[in-house]
This record gives sequence, structure tokens and C-alpha cells, in this order.
Amino acid sequence: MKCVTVLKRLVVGAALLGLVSCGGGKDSGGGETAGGGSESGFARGKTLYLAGSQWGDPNTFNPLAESWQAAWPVNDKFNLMYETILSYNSLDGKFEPLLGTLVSRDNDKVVVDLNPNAKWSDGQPVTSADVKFVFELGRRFPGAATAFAIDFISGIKVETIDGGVERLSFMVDKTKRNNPLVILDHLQAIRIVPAHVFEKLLADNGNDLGAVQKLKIDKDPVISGPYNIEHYSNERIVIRRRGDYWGNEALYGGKLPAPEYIIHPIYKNNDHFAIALQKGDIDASQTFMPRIWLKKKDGVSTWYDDAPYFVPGAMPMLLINTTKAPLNDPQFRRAMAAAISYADIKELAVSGYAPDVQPGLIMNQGLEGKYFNAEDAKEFGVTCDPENAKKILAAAGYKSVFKSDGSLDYMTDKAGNKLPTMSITVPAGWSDWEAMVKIAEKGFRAAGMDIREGPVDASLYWPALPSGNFDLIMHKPAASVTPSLPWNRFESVMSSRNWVPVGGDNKMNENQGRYNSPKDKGYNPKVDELLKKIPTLEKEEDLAVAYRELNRIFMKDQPSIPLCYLPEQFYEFSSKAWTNWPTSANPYAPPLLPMVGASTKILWGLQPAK
Amino acid sequence: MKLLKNLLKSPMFVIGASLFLLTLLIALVGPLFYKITMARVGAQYDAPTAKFILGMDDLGRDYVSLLLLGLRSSLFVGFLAGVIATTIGTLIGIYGGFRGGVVDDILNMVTNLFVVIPSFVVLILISASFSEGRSLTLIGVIIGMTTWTWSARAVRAQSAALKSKDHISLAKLNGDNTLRVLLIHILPYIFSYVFMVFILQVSSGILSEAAISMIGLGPMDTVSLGTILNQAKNTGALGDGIWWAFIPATVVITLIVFALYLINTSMEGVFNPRLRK
Repeated sequence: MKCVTVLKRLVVGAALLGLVSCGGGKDSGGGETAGGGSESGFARGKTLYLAGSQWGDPNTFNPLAESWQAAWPVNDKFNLMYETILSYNSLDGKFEPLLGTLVSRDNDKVVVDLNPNAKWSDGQPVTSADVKFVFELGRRFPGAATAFAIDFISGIKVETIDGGVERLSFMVDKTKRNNPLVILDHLQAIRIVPAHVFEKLLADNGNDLGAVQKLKIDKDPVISGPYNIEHYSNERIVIRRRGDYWGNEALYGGKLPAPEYIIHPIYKNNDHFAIALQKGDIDASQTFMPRIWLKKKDGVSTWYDDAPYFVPGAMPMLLINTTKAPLNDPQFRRAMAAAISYADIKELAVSGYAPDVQPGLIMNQGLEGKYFNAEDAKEFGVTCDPENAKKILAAAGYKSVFKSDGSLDYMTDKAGNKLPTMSITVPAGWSDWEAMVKIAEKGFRAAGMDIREGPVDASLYWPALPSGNFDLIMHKPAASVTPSLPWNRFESVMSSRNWVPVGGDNKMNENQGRYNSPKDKGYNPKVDELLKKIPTLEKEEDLAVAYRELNRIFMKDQPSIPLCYLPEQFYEFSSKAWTNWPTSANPYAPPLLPMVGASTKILWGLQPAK
Repeated sequence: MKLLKNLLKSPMFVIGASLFLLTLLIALVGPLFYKITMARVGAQYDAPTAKFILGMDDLGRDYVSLLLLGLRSSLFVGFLAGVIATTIGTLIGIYGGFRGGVVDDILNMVTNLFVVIPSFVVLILISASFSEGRSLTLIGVIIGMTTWTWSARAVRAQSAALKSKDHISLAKLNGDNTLRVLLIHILPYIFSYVFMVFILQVSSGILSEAAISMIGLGPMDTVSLGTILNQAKNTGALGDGIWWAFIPATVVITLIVFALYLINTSMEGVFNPRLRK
């Protein structure tokens, strides 16, 4: 009887455990406070808690490491420690001064003046030598994280103008990419590092960049930005305001940024962030929080008070492997696009956080809205229409066999061959993406297409994307709002510049769906021509014509299926500890956390709550 | 019959059996009386109304329909896992206990080996390795294959105790082979015991399915009570106080397991003379 008793105890124990884990989640989640607030020695009135930009353990603060390896705030394009030359304002499309000021841009060069007051934290001035060090590092070391810049910039010419100001001309490399637009992207994304510090490190390490990239650079690093690293652990990263930051005087009239400390707590999932924000333990987060309207009563606010709450900026989409049958058939892809309920995706998967998605790769919103053509969308685009999906499939010779309970059994192609079940690769646990995929799957199957959700661990998702080892895959290309949108989105989805077939070690960092192979007899050279031409066009009317033509090709060929519009960042904030966050009623900075582009100025605008 | 009469005298058994039969009945004939629909019938997490008494899930689907389907799936997994675990456990236990010697030592070692390997971790690893096509049946089989050890140990002890009884010796003298002795002369004696083990294996199967689904490694393309909870967890229903997303499914799981536990405990009281009052 003893064993049965043990087994019984196990069962009861498991049942109790189940109840606790099912019912008590709120308390256990909320119990983890954001670093403890004032109890940990950081006065709440002087400390700003930001979240959602660091998920794993902080490994390195080395600005020369790959951006995805570095910890907040050295990762991404955040400019709290290391700064960019320009700040991009994604609301009005203007460049705001940071380490430099934009002077002019044409097809030959992009010209900026360096701010003569910009200084490193060791007192040395920020000079053209620092800029050249970062932008030309790829010429010395092909493995440099910024090596991609040398495909666009043939050289940086320096001249000294009145008052000792250094004027830098970033020369467009005509022989390689010939793309001044991406140079602008780089000027607002690549952070400048102190050449005098890193040249010495290189010399000390036998001129081995790999060895330097492995240094953590976490002890009193020489930086130009307003905050420096104070302390970090696996639970949080603390940065502290620098009283001698050059920009206080040069850019903000002598004012200091309001928070003395900024802390980024490290949580493991979205729920923690949502609960911490509701409790006022964190002040702003960029994580997806469903049903934000339910959180308003707890003081959580967004850019707009009402739907869609956020400003759209990015397009999650289903990338299609266009080399596999039947996905290589544009008619099949158009039928897929017609089978999806975009209204369901908007309402159920992303809590209505965006205006209705339109056919094509151009949003009818924001800065790119001027290139959207409603007539073309109507004429060439496919919208949700399940009956139309069935018609397109029938006309193209596909037949679907349904079971007696009405569910799909299988599909046959034009020749009557049974088609295999196709799968949509999506990282398991990314709840908004998974919900989108579930809704798409439902539409596909109802229309007779044998496609199923295929959740995979995120560690398998990332390698699958460039290798093309997928039938369909969720992806959000051109995820940030940069000066080169919407060109950047088209390039990411349609460019055949580096086309390689699926297989072996072949990787494509753009057009992972292998659309428009240059070796195919059906190759459409117009796509690559337009992608090359658009960055060099200066007149708005020329741009509108070119974008219109490219978007028409996209709508006809449907190499991917945009599912909805989402913001660049889910900008959510609480005014419990800090007030004067920018909103649609007070739009003094774009709706991004105060560490990205022109939104960094929020730090100088915040006021402690009374 | 006498056993049944004795069992029916136990209020614990009556409550447990009634509860369990009720859930079984709801799972089997519920769909005849309630129109199950997996289509979207409302907005995300719509609160309960008179028409949809348990509200909507994150995809705007009726929770009553989902619970009915989930209940069927969970019972199916529980029974499948229970049958597999009890069969494997009983075969290994009864044979090892009866044979004794080296065979018993080896089987005992294998069983102990499986006991010390945490079955839930094995369950997680196996489930995770099936990235595609994890079906309800597969989950049931995996659970059954990883939880049989307790049955084996329990049955082995009983079988070992029986092997020196007179009727076994007589059967052996009579020329009965091992299989016949095991099936005709030992199994009937410990059948009540095996049945009790089976009941606990079913409830542990249901709980294991809920647990494995709750962490996102459950069956795909199917609704189970565990996947309902997983969905509620993933979509932040807890944080928003959407109780209908997780309370009903939790209550259903608890009730089934509680009912099975009551049945088992009351049977133990009846079958084991020492526990009889």
C-alpha cells in the first residue's frame, strides 16, 4: 500500500501545485518588484525605470560588439552612453542635432557639421577622427559590427570651417550601393566611439579586433552620452546621470536631464512588465501589453488616449518561400492573402493597436502615407474575401477535399497531385505573433489551403529565417522607423541583390522568401531597378511614381502578406513617478522610450510627480 | 457484487463516482445538447453573458464549447496515459515480483532508474523534441511511458507477496506455465489493487497533460484543459483579472482529479480489510 500512498500524495501535491500556479499568478508576478524602488537605495523621485530593451543577462557593454550581443543601453541604437551624429524624429521626418548637425544631402554626399562642444567623458573633444574610426572600421577589419557602412560610403572628407567646426562629407560610394538614403540611416543609428581609447585597446591587443570585441568595457567607459554605467547584475542595469555631459549646455540651455538614475530591470516575460507598470514600479516600457484600456485605471498611458493607442510604424508579415510549390504560384499567394481575416488579427491578436492594414508594402499612415495610392490598392491589391480566395484557387486548378465534419482533409494541385501540409514558422511563446498565425491558419484552412501553425523555439526561428528553411515564416522587416522607409521595407522583402538558393550555408539577410530569382526565366528586372533607383531620387513626384510602380508589382506578385500595422515601439508609460511624457496632445518628442533618436530629449522634459 | 455494495455504502465513493460520472457524461453527451462552435462569436475576452455563460477566449470563441472539447481531450489523454502506464507497470511489476532472482533485480533496477529520473523532465524533453505534430495521442503515450514506475513498484510488492501462497505452488505443480500462473492465479488476486493504481494513473495523466500544456508543450491543433490555461497565461488574462479565462478550466481539472482521488481512497478502505472500520 505504501507505493499507492506515495503516488496518491504525488497526485494531490500536483493538484495543489496546479491550483496555485493557475490561480495565484497575479500575486507571484506582481511580487517581483522593479528592483525594489527606494528600498534599494535609489530614491524614487530621482530614478527612472525603463523596461523592455534587455531580456537576458547583460554580457557586454562594448560598443564595438554586435548590437544584439551588447546590453542596454549599448544595444540597438540607444544613445544614452554612446551617441549618434544625428537624431531622427520619426514624427516629422526631420534630423535633429546631436554630435553633429545635418547640412545637406544630395546624390553625391551627405554633409554634417560636428558640434565643436561635443566632448568625451575624459574631456577630449569628439572629432572627425572618432567618426572616421567607426565608419571606416570595416575597411581595416571585415568582422567589424559596422562593416556594412563601407558598402555605402566611399570616404569621409573633412574640412574645417569657421570657428574651428569640422565639416564632414560622407561620400556616396557610386560603384557599390550608390545609396545616400541608407547613409542617412547610418548617421542616426551608428554610435560614435572614442578613437583614442579603442586605438589604444587595439594596439594593446595586437591589433586584433576580435580580442577587443570580447572586452566588456563596463568599468568607467569613456562615453559622450548623458548617462554612464553605474552597476549591473542579472536583475537590473543602473546608469547614472553625468553632471558634465556636454549636451546639457550645448543642446539644452544648461538644463540637466531630470532623472539622476535610470534603471532597466530585467524580467523574463511580458506579464511582469505589464504588472510592474500597473503598480508604478516601472515608468515606461516597450513591451506588448494586450488590452491596454483595462490597464488605464492603474495609470498606464499611451500616445493616444483611445484606439489605436499607438502610432503605426512597422508591418509584421508572413514571408513566403516562393521557391516551393504551390507557394511559387502568385495566384496561390494571392488566394492566401484573400483568405485572412485582417479585422480579426487587428482586434484579437493585437488588441486593435493599429489602423486597418492596406494591400501593399506602403502604409497609408505617417511619413510614408504620402506614397500610398488608394486606387492602386483597390485595383491590384487583395483584401479579405474568403469567397474570392476560393475562386482564385479554383481558377488556378487547385482542389480541396474536406472531411465530413467540414474540416480540411487535403489539397491537390493542377495535376491532381496531393499537396503536402505547409507550416508557418513562428517563435513559440510570442503571443501576439502566435495569435496572428492562428487566425491566418483558420482562414487558410477554411478556404481549402492545407497550412498549419508551426511554433518553434526562438533559437530555431532565427537561423531558419536567412537560410530559407521554411514554408511560411513570421517576420517584421524594417522594424524601426528610419529615414529610408518605405524603401527599406521593399528592399527587405523584394531585393534579389544577393539572391542565393535555399540549401547549404546559403543565407539571405533580405528577401528571405527568395522572391524573383535572377536565374529564373520569369525574373522581373524592374524590381531591382526600382530598388536601386529610389534612394537616388530627390523629387517627391519622382519618388511617388517609383514607389507606386514597385508597390503594384508587390501587390500583383504578393511575395509576402502584411498582416497588420504595429508601432515601432509599444510606448507605454505611467505618470505615477514622472510626468510630462509626450502624447498626441503634447507631441514634443516621438512616441519612443527616452533613449531612441529624438525621443532622448524626453529625459530633459520629465518632471517628478508631486 | 458484494464489493460494489460495500463501496456504495461509502459516501466518499458515492460522491467521487457521481462527480466522475457526471464529468464523463458531460464530455460524452454534452455536445448533443450544446452546440459546440469554434468560430469567433464575440470580441476578445468578452465577459460572461446569459447566452455565453462563461464568456469568450482571446480569439472571441465561446468558453463553454472550448471547455467541453477540452474536457473530452483531457479525459482521453488521462485514460490513454492511465492504460499505458498501468499495463506497463503491471506487466513489469507482476512478472518481476513473481520470478524474483536476477530477472526481478534487473526489472527492479530499471524501475528504480525510471523512478529517480524525474518523469516530468523527461516528459518536457520528449514533448519539446516533437516540434511538429504533437497530437493528443502522442502526449498521452509520452505521459504513459514516463509514469508507469509507481504502478510497477506497487504491483511488484503484491506479486512477490503472493508467489509463496499455496495455490500458486499447486498451480506450478499442476504444470501451469508462468503466463498462466500470472494471468489466472495472481492477477485476479491483485486486480482491485491494479484498478486503484489505474485510477491514480488516470488522474496523474490528466494533471500531467494540464501541466505540460500549461508550459506550452501540449498537443497542437487541439483544445485541452491545459491548452486553455496556457492560452490564458500567454495572453495576459491573469494580469487583467479575466477570471473566466482560467478559473473554469482549473475547477474542471480539480473536480476530475478530486473525484478520482475520492474513488481511490474509498476503494482502498473497502479492499484493504485492515483499513475497514
